[in-house]
Amino acid sequence: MARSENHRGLRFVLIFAGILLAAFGVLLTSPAQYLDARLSLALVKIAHGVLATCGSHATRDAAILRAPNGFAVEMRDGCNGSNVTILLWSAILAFPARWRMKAIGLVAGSLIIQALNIVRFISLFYLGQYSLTWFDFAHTYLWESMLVLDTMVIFWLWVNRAVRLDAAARAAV
Amino acid sequence: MPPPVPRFKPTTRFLISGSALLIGILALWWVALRGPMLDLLRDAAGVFLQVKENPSGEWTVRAPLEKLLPPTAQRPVAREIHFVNFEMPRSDATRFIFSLPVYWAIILASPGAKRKLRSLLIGTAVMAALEVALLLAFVDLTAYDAISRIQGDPGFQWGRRLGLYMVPNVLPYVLPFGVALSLHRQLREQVLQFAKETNVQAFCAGLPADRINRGPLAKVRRGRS
Repeated sequence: MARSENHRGLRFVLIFAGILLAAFGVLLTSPAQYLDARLSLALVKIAHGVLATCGSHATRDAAILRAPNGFAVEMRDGCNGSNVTILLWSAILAFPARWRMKAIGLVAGSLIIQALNIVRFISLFYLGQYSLTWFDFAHTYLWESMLVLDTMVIFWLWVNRAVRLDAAARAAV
Repeated sequence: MPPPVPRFKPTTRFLISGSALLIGILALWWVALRGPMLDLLRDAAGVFLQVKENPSGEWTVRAPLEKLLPPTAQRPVAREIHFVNFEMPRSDATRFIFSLPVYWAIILASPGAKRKLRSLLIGTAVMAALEVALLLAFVDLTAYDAISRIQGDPGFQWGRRLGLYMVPNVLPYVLPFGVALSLHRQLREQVLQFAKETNVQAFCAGLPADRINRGPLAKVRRGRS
């Protein structure tokens, strides 16, 4: 049984690494970069909408959110959660489960990550107005690590469900 | 009588304690450990290449690289290159030292007290080695990229771009989680559940079909369809 576990573990790691590398490779191509920029724009629009609803006077210029005091923050490159989304997709696709479960995990997981990313963006927008040093800390290190941790927990929850359903269904056939 | 302590699911417990530990340990690292850890990284990297710190705090890195640049229309004489010098802002170098506190936070949030200490000690050594390796890989990739730009060589440009993106922007964030899952068996078993899956299958395989089609297993089956 331990051998079977090791085999499954190794298979998972290899497929995960392969998909991760291929997906980041695709992300760096021009068409994907264009879509990436569109995603950033859409997320900033949503964040601006949330802030406006809460009574903020922040203004938006493309993917830049500007405070009345002049502080501005732009969403670009990895700031739109694309890196952690790729991480989650690679893990879900590499895990042995039914395709329907994988599809549910990919869609639901991506939506949760993007919701968290909007919270992150808004919190950074306010933190930056308070201290640029702590903005740098939260932007580059804390929030990025928290998002990877959240991604791991989303994957973990998905595995709980996928394993339970898959094993019972396979055994019952 | 004190109120009963709420019992959380392992995922909830890991999320709450992991987030709290990440905030605490990373804040401590940012305030107190960043400087000494950068010095240690510079000294460790100094074993393999020349690294000098400028008064402004920036690093000047000399990457050894033997290369013969063939003559071109703009430069008729061939040129031998032995090393590449480049400036590295302190903030870029900092990206290669924050994986360690992230690793500590993950392990401390993981279940099991005994395995924690073992994983903490072995993992710290592994993460420290990986951080130095990532910095060296980044320096190498940057040096090769600079030479290729001088040569005007577009060959393998995509691979270089991928490497220069992955090494500072993806791997420092992913590796602490990967190392934690590799070294901490209990965490790995809880997250990936390969053992559980095998056990459930073995258990179900030994049951007659009518037992599987009744009770909780049938409920699970019905939920799927």
